[in-house]
Formats: sequence, C-alpha cells, structure tokens
Amino acid sequence: MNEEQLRAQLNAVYSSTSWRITAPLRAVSRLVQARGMSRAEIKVHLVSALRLLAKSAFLRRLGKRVLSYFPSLRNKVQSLLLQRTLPAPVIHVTAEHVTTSLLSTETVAILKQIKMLRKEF
Amino acid sequence: MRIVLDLQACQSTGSRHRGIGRYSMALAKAMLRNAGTHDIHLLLSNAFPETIEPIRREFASLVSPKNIHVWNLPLPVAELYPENAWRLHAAQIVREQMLASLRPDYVHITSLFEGSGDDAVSSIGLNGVHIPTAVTLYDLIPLVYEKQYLVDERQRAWYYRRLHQLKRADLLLAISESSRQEGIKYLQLDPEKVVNISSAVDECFQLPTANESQMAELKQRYHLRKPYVMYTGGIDLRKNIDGLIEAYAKLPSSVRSAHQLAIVCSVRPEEKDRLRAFAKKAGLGDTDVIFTGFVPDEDLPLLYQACKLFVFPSWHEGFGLPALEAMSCGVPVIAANTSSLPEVVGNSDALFDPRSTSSITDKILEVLTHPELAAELVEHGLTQAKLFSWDASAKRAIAAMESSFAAQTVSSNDKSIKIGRPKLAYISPLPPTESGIADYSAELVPALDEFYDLTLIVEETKVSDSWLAANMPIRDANWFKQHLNDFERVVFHFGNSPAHAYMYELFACRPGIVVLHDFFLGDSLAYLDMNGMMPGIWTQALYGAHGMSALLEQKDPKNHPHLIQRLPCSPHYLAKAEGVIVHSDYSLGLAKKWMGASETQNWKLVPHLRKSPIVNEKSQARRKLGIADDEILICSFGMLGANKQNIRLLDACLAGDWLKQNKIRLVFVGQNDSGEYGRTLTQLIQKNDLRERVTITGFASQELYREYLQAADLAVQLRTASRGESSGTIFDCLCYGVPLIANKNGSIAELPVDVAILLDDEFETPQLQAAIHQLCDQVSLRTQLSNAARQYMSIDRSPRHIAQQYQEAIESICISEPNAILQQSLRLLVKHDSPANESDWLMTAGALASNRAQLDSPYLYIDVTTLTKVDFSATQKRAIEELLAKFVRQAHALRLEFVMHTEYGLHYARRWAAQFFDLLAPFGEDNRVEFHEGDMYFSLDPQVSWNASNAQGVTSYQVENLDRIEGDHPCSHRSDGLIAELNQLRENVNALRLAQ
Repeated sequence: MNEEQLRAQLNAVYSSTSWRITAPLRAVSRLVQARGMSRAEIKVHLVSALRLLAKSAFLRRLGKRVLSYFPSLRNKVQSLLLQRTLPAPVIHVTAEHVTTSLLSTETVAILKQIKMLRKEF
Repeated sequence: MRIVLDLQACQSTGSRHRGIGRYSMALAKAMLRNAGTHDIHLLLSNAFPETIEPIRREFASLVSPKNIHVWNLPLPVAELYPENAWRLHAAQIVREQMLASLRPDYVHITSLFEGSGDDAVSSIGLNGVHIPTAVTLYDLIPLVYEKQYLVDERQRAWYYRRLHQLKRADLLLAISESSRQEGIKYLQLDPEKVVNISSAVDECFQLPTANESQMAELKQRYHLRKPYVMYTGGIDLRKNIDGLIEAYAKLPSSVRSAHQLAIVCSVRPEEKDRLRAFAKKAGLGDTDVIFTGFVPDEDLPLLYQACKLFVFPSWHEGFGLPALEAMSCGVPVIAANTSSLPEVVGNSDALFDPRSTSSITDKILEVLTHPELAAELVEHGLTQAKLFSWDASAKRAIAAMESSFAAQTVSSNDKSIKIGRPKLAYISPLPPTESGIADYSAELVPALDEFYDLTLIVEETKVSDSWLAANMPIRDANWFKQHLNDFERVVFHFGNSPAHAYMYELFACRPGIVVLHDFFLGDSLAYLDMNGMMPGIWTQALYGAHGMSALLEQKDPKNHPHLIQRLPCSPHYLAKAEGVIVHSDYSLGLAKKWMGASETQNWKLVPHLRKSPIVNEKSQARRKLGIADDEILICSFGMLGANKQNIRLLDACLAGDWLKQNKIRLVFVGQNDSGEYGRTLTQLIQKNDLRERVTITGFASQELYREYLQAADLAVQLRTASRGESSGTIFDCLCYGVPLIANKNGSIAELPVDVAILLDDEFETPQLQAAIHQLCDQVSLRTQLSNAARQYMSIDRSPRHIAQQYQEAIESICISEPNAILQQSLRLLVKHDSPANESDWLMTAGALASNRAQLDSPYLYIDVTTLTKVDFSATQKRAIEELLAKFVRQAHALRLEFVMHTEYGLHYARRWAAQFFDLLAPFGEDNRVEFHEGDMYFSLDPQVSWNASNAQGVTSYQVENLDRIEGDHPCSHRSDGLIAELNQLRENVNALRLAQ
C-alpha cells in the first residue's frame, strides 16, 4: 500500500471524464479497504508505529501541533495510543490523510459526514 | 414560478437523435420564448459531457448561461446492469439534491423512459421531498403491446419501475389526446392531472421552395423516376409497413405502373432483405418499391414536397409527426383511423382501416385517381397544420403547470402537516451551566416535547433542572456521535460563549438546524482558540467567513479585540447549517448585511420566549428588601457597564435634585463594572451623597434578582451597541409586569408599543428624564403597562406558543432547505442495502459537493504557482508580500483565494499562504479547488495560464478566465476595472520576482 500509488490512483478518478473510468476506482477502494490484511492486523501495525513515534519527544511535539488542527484525527490517535485491547472499528487513517489533500474541501466535509453515519470512527 | 427543465432526453444516447429528443428540444425552446414572467432554468447531466456545449449553443439566444446548470453523478448507472444498482440509487438521490438546491416551483422531466442502457437518471420524490413535477407522456405502446415489446425480463422490470415513477408525477403533459386517454385508461391516472399539449413540426416543413433542377437531382439520387407514394417513420411491427406494401401491390396495374412506393427511413440490411422478399412475394419489382435508407435532415422536407401522396398506416402512434410534417409540406396525406392519427389528420375522408388491406388499397387508389380529392386533402391539411405550433404547445404546458402549482399551494395551505413526533437531538447548554441560553432551553424543552421526541445533548450530563433531569434522555457529545443515525432532526443552539464549545465538532459531523442566539461568535471562538481548548478554531472561522483579508489582520495581536468586535465569524457555520432560526428582525438584518439576501432569505424568525413566573405579593418582597410602601423603587437589571448606559440613567435621575426631593430609590441589580466605567459610577454616587438612595447590589443571586423584579415599581433598561443578542432582563421585566422604560436598541425596537415606554435608540437625557417622571407620577399608567406586558408575555411569548412556532420553522426547513435535504439523502444512502464500495462513496460525495448551486458571490482564484517554487531573498519576499496583501485588503469585497498547480490539478495554496504571509496559524489544507458556475481565475505568471475548458472535471462549468487574451482584448467582459488591477498586480509582482 504505497502512498504514491494511492495518490496516482485517486488522481485517475479526477482525470477521467466525468469519473467514467471505474476500474482504477475499484483498485483504489481495494487499496483503501486494504483487503487481504484484516482490520485488526492493520490496527496492530498502526498502533505500534504510533507508539514508536510517540517515544521521540520532538516528534511528539510536532505531532501534537499538527494534530491540534485536526481534532478528529487527534482523537483517533489519542484513543489508539491509550487503547490496550483493540476492538475492531474501521479505521482509514491512511485514506483520510491522502484524500483530504486530493479532494475538495466540500467533498471532504461530506465524506466525513458519511463516515460518521456509517460509524467508521 | 421558477421552472426547471430536465433536458436529459436531449442528451441520452437512447433519445437525443430521435423523436423524443427533438420534441423535447423544440418544446423547451418554445417554453423559453413563451416564459413570460417565469424564471426558466435548464438542467443538464454531466453523464453526457459531449452534449453540453452543443446544447448551450442551441439555447444561447434564449436563456442566460446562469440559468443552465450541469450536475455530476456517480457512474456508470445504466439500469439494465444489476451491478449499477447502488450507484443508480445514489445518482437519483444526487439528482434530486441538485434539483432541491435550485429551489424550483415546478420541474419538467422531458422523458422518464430513459436510462435502461445509458446513464440517464430520473426519479420523483425519492428523497422524501415533494417538488411539483411534470412529465411528458409520449405514449404507453410497450404497455399496450406488452407481449411484443416487454419480452426481456429485465427490460420489463425497468419499464414497470419507470411507470411507477410516472405515476408519482403531479402532471403529465400528453403529446396528443389519444396518448392522454391511454394514460387515463392504462395507468388509471386522474384525468385532471393529464393535459394534452399536443405537438408541432419544425419550420423546415413548409410549401416547396426549391427549384425544378434541385428536385430533379433529389429524385435521381433516390432513384425516384415516377410519381411516388411515400411513407416515412421507423420500421417496427406497429408501423404496418408490411400492410402498406401488400396494399400497394394490390393496386390495379395501370395505376401501379405509373407510380413508385418510397419507404423513407434508415433500415438495417437484414430488415431490408426481408422487406424486399416480402414485396417480391406480393408481386412488386425492385423499382416499384424504393428503400431510401438513411436520409439527411435537409432532404426530408424535399422528399415530402415531391411526393404525390403520403400514407401513414401505423396501428398505434403517440402523435404521428410524419403525417403532420407531410401536411405542412402541402401534399395529400392519408392515415390510419387509429390512436392519435384521426386528431392529427382531422379529416375522416383521409382515414382508412390499417388492419384491412383492401381499405388501404381503396384509399390510395381513390386519391391517386381523383385529383380533386387530392387537392381537397392538401387544402384541408394546410389548414389543419396551422392548428399545431410549438408556441401553442409550450403555452399549454406552462398554463398546465401554473394551474397545478396554484392548486397545490391552496391544498398545502389547507392541510396541517401530521408528522407524529420525529426524533430530535436538542443540542444546547442546560442549567447548571451559567448561560442565558441554558435557562432559555430549560424553559423551551418542556413545551417542545409536545412536538418532538427529544434527546438533550450536553457537555456534562449532570443537569440541575429537576423537570429535565426527571423526564428527558440526557446524553453527551460522544454518545451523540455514535447515534447520529437515530435522529431525523438535529437542532443546535449557538451562542457567543465557551459553553457552546462542544458543539462545533458535532456540527461538522452532522450540520443541523442552528438556533442563533448571537450573530457575533468571535469572543468565544477567539477565547477557545487562544487558551488552547480548541486551537485554530477562530482562525478557521475567520478564514471561512471573512477570507484572506481577515487572516492578514489577525497577524498582529493588537488587532484582535477590534477583529473580535467587528467580524461575526458565524457565517462560517451558518452557510453549512440545514437552516437558521433567529429571534429578531434585527439579527436577520445583520445576517443579510454579512451574508447577502439570497443566502438568508429562508431563515426563520421565532421570537424569544419567557415562562410566566409565579409572582408573590409585592409588599412581601419589599419588606424583605427593606423598601417602604410609600417609596418608589426604580431598578436597572443586569451586569453594569458602558453598553448598559448606567451613568446616563443616574444623570437623568440626578437632575434638579429630584431624587432627594421625592421618595425615590434607584437600585442597580447586578455586578458593577470592574473597570473605569464602574469606578466613575461609584464616584458619582458618592460625590452626590446618594448612598442612601442609590445602590448597586453586586452579583445578584437568582433569588435576590427575583425579589427585586417583584418589588420594583418601574425598571429602566438601556442598551447601546447591541450585536443582535436578546436581552433576557427586558423579558423578565415584562413577564413580572414591571413597568418598563427602554431604548429601541437592536431587537428591542420590535416590541409592541403598548407594553413599555420605548425611547429612541439614540435618546436625549431629557427624554429619559421625562419618561421616568411620568411613570413615577402616574400610577394608572404603571398599572396599564404592567397588565399589557404581562398579557403579551403570557400569550405571545409563552413557551407553548413559541414551541409551536419552532415546530413550524423546523418542519418547513426539513422539506425545503437544500442542506437539510442533503442530510436526509445521506441517511437514505447509508441505509440502502445494495452493496457500495469506497469508490462509489467517493464519486457520490464528490458529485454532491460539486452540485451545490452557488448562492454567494463568485470566487476569484489567483494562481501563485510561480511564487511557490522559488526561494526569494528577504527583501524581495517582503515586497511581494506587501503587494499581495495590499491587493487582498483592497479587494476584500471579493472572495479571493490563492491557488497553485500540482501534478493533480489546481489546488489551494493555503499552506504556502500561511508561511508566505507569516500568518498566525495554518488555516486549512491544500485541497483541490472545486469550481462553481461563474468563478474567476487569474494567473500571476504570464507564461502559465490554466484553461478552464481543458481542465479535468470542470468541463461543464463556465469559469471566467480573466487572464486570457484574444487578439488585443481580454476575453472577459468585466468592466469594473478588476482586470486592470489584476494586470497591474501581475506586472508589479513580476518586476519584483525577476529582479536580481
């Protein structure tokens, strides 16, 4: 799940006329949903990566500052760091990071509302 | 009326080149010509991007480009493919959302029978919102001849689903009386809802104008050597071409040998072979029957004009346009006596029985051998043809929509909406939180309970109000986030206090209806931002509501108090709200000033409420407070301060030693101002030796506050520089029946004149003085005011009465406001059971975002790519920064954004701007730019422009490219000097940029 590939795929969504091309889209969604790796597995990786990062004081400060502007992401990261046993809600941290910069502000807002309704948090 | 014409019939691959597409195009043009006072808009689907420019050109002279709207949708959606099911459902919702955002009074769907094999989409009221809708009814042939036409199971299911949508229409515009009757008979439609608007032919079908040699050339090209009998139309069983060939073959050979039969239409090779064989079997030679194959548009009128007789033997037509076209061309026409043809031809002498070969043969023979009959048919045909015109059809269509609309308005006024008790999330601080809004909610909620199944969402679930705690589900923000789906209505109470902090994130998750208590939110947002509770929130709201220029001002902390005072910030949230409810006309006026009339036109006004208190004996309260019965007690309630004009009140009482001479007590019930103003007031009291007569209570408990309300003989409440907030103390005075003097500041001006003495907002001290003296002197006036005030508050401002107004406002918002409908649509999409993958959601969210109609002013995007790539020297950077900042400040009336090219298209340059201008805080990410109709673009680099028409994803929008030059002139037609200013800016920036 290379981020560059993901960007390229998403970009294809926009360069196709009227988003007609659905093949790359399906590929994106496969990547986004990261099938083949269970969600619990993704989460374990994510948590260990976050904990590693949190050990560096500098990165922690930086992370805090960055995250302070993204409260929902911050909450997510905080809850991940605090959690010991992991339940299995859906987490699309990578997708969120990529999509927020590639999509329009308005689209991001609607996607967030959809995610909330689908209880993906 | 605002009428929206959905022109997908002119776009879909199924219809655009066929009768339905042409009919829809001609009718739409005629409707625009005959629009009168109606505001007609065209709706085009971006599923067929290649059709948009041609259609724009077709309508260029008839409608303003602003009235042409293009909408995006998730694709593909063709209904015959089951894997499209979710996307189709989403696309229908997306289309209805687009329609709702246009706020139409009537929608005309030019054809519902589209989208089986292509990406046309239509539905009526799927999202639960009723928009009056008319649909053109061409015919129901597939239903009438089900065995022939609906063989395929999926096709049949598709057709029946379309019929179901058709039945939901409010009005059907039938193209003939016969198809109208078909609708009534086969679909049991209410006859009043089906109107025959008829049809007409193109102007090119007229009496011959071509000369002999042109005609000769034409005939030769189609191998027509003899006078010919003509048929045109599709090749289909019901068209009865076999019957025509058979009947023609039966003509006496003398007549037959002098004529040819011309079948004018495109025909598939295998069909042509079959018909040839059939003709041969009937005894006709190759030259007796001519199959022209496809005929270009310009040849068709000539072929009509040159024929000797036109025969239209179809069993069943919706209208039978070829017959009317031939009549208009001045040739004899005979046709079947079935379906719509008798009304089109209008002459029983010209009809035959299409199921009887001999009847057809006889009629053909009769006309061919009786020139006087032929002449009669021509003459009658020309007269009859004059009865049909597109203008007449358009007028009928518009008139039908007008009367249907009028009938609906009447009926919707009559019927009171019965909606049960929808589940409503009520998001507001509640007691013990110290806030006027908390107390307000505590009074409103018990009354609102009659109309809604309420859940209260608060920051702290400990609520001190006994009634609420005992009766209401009270939950916190986290619980609400987990249960968003449960609520059909969500109401936020916004106020300018940190008690509302917990709402902002919830509002982003589920933007609901906002009850706006304060239009200015800057104080609380700045507080939350700067003390670190919600870092960045003020910056983001400043940017969202007031743009780059506000951020430039925010750089210097010295400006902050002024910024907080001046910029309301609330538009950042209100523009996203489902709907907005305010308490006064004054707030509405503020909103109009800051957000524009169109954005705020549907805001609702629900006045402030106050529960009638239980008032005890006045004398009892006075005894407790130590006020003698013969003293007159004047009170001024509320925290003291310059904006309460307390000193002016004291001045008015001091004049002429009046206070001392009469038995007057003046009490300021509230905390004194802790600054200079408070000190001045205290000194004034001491200097005049008034400590006996004038007191300041200091912070007043609820109990003490109520004692004074019960004890007071009159109250004076003065305000200045109101920013739209409601004054709770004034309402308390009124409902306790305290005779009141107030100045008409802000919303106070809206009080009825008989409930208080209302002074001008900018009153003179003698006026105030006179009013006070008058009230002190006249007991009867005090009684009169007291009774009027109490009555007004107990009826007009009673919680019951106000709750009812809330219900009306909330329900009206839910059925008419685009943002509210969007929330309902999202819930529907989430609940839909067919499978959707992440990309479907992405496409759907993207479409919904881009389809929002642009209400506010257009954006000006300034492309700064050229500045983002270079490292400038400090002086260079400062100079460029200054230039740009100056421009931003000057152009503050425009919504101005810096953008840049990335490998993924045009994106915001927000991170660059935050750094380049040394802004206080980052204000957003570098999202992709979402263009809307009428936006403007200008590149600071003369070498690099960006072509709106080539750019990805925005082909359909008309973005004005201000830097494009054609010849010596800019393409844009703006005349306000903006282009000159931009060019000047570019020159200056470039001079600095290129300087060493």
